[in-house]
Amino acid sequence: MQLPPLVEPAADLSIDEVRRYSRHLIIPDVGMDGQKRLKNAKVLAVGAGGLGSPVLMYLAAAGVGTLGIVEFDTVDESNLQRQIIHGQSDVGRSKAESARDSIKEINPLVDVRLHETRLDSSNVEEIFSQYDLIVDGTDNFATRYLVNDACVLLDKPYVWGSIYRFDGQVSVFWNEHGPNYRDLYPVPPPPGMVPSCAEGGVLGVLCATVGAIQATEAVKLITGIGETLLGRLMVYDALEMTFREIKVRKDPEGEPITGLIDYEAFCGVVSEEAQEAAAGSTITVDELKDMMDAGKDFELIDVREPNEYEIVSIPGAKLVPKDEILSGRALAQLPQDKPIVLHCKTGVRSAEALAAVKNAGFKDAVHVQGGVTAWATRIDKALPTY
Amino acid sequence: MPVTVRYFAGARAAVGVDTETREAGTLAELVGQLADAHGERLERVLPACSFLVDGTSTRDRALVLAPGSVVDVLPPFAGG
Repeated sequence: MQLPPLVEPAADLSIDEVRRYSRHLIIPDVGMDGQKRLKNAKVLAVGAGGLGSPVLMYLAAAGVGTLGIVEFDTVDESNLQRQIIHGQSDVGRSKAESARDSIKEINPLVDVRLHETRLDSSNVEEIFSQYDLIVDGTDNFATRYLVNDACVLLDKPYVWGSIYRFDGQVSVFWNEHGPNYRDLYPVPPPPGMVPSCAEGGVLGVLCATVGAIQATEAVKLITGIGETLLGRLMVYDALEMTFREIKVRKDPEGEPITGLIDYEAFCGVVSEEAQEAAAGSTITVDELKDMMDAGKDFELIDVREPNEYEIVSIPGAKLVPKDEILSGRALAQLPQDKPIVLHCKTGVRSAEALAAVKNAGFKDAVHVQGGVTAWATRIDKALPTY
Repeated sequence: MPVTVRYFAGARAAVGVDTETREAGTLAELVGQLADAHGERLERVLPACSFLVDGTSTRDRALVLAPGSVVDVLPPFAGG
C-alpha cells in the first residue's frame, strides 16, 4: 500500500552528507528530498540481535538521522553466528553499547540513543513516543504483542520481522491505515508449543534477508516511496528459496485494543523452574486419553480455580487450585500410592504446580500439555473452550 | 465446495506441498480433513496456526467457506 512520507524533510544536507549519500541522491525517487527525510527520521529498533543487526547497520548507512535501540542484554558468543553488529571483542559487553559503536563506525553522523532496559507496559509508551517508526526484532511473543499494542495506541507504524530456522516472515503494521499484528495472529500460540530460536535454532544468514527487507520497508515508509508491505505478509523459505505473499486484512471481528495488558500472562510465559520440571514429564491429551482407556490407576488433578472447573473439566479430574499446591497446604491431599497427572487450562499453571509437586517428592508426577483446552479441541469436541 | 489451501513455513514442511485443493463446507470441516490427511506432523503444528480465509484471520471454526476461497495455514514464530 502506498503511503505518504512519514517524516518531513530536514532543512538541508551538508557537503559531507551530499558526498556520503550521493548514490541515493542520484536515484530520482529518493533524491535530495528523500535523503533529507531520512536525515530527519527517528527510528527505534526493538532488539539489537539477529534482525536488529542488519536493520541498524543499513539504516545507519542510509543516513537515518536518529537511531534508538532498546536492548538490555549482553553479547554472548552464541550471538556472533548471526548478530553481525557485534564482534568477538564485544563478548560480555552491553549489546546496546556494542551496537552504538558499530553504528558510529559505519556513520558517525547518526545520533544513537540507547534504552538499556527491558521493554514493558510501564515504559513502552514513553520510549516509543520519541520515534517516528518502530522496527520490531524481538525474540518472544509477549514483547511482540506489547510492541503491537503500544504502536496501535500511539498510532505508530512499525516494521515487523520474525525468523525461525529457515523461515522468515515480514510485514508492516499500522492500525490507522491497515491491519495490525493481531489481525494476523489474534492470540499467541499455546505456551511451549512454538520453540524460540534459542530452542530450535536459526540459520544465521536468514537474519540478513529478513532484516534487509525490514530496513527497505523503513526507508520506503520514511520517504513515502513505493508499495509498502502494509496489508501484505512476505513469507520467505530459505530452503525452497521462495518468497510468497499473503494478503492480510483487518479482522472486522477483532477486539479493539484499548490499553496495555499483562503480556507475560497473555502469552503464558513459563518460569525456568517450571520448564525444567516439565521437561520429560509432559504428556499430551492423547496420551492422557490412552491412559484412561487402558484403565490405568492414576490421580488426575485440575489445578485451575473452581469457577473454571465449573465451565469445563476433564472427566475424573479432582480440583486442587494451584495456589493450594504452591503454598504446600494441599500437598497432604495428594496420593502417595499412585502417579499424579496435573492439568490446567493450557499447561502453564500445571507446569508451575508440577515443579512444586516434584520438589515435594512426587518424582513421577507429570502434567498435560495444552490442558483442558487441548482436551476440548482434540478429544471431546463437544466441550466448550474459554 | 472446492477451496484452495496454502501452507507456509512449518505447515508447509509438514505437508510437503505449497498448495492443494480440498472440498469442505466450513473451516472446522477443512481443519479436520487436513489433520486426518496429513497425519501427526501437521496435527502438531495446527493448534498454533493462524487460518486466513481470503486474507482475514479467523478463529470462528464454524465459518462457511465460499467456493473458491483461499485458506492460508500459517504457523507463528517470534524469533528475532
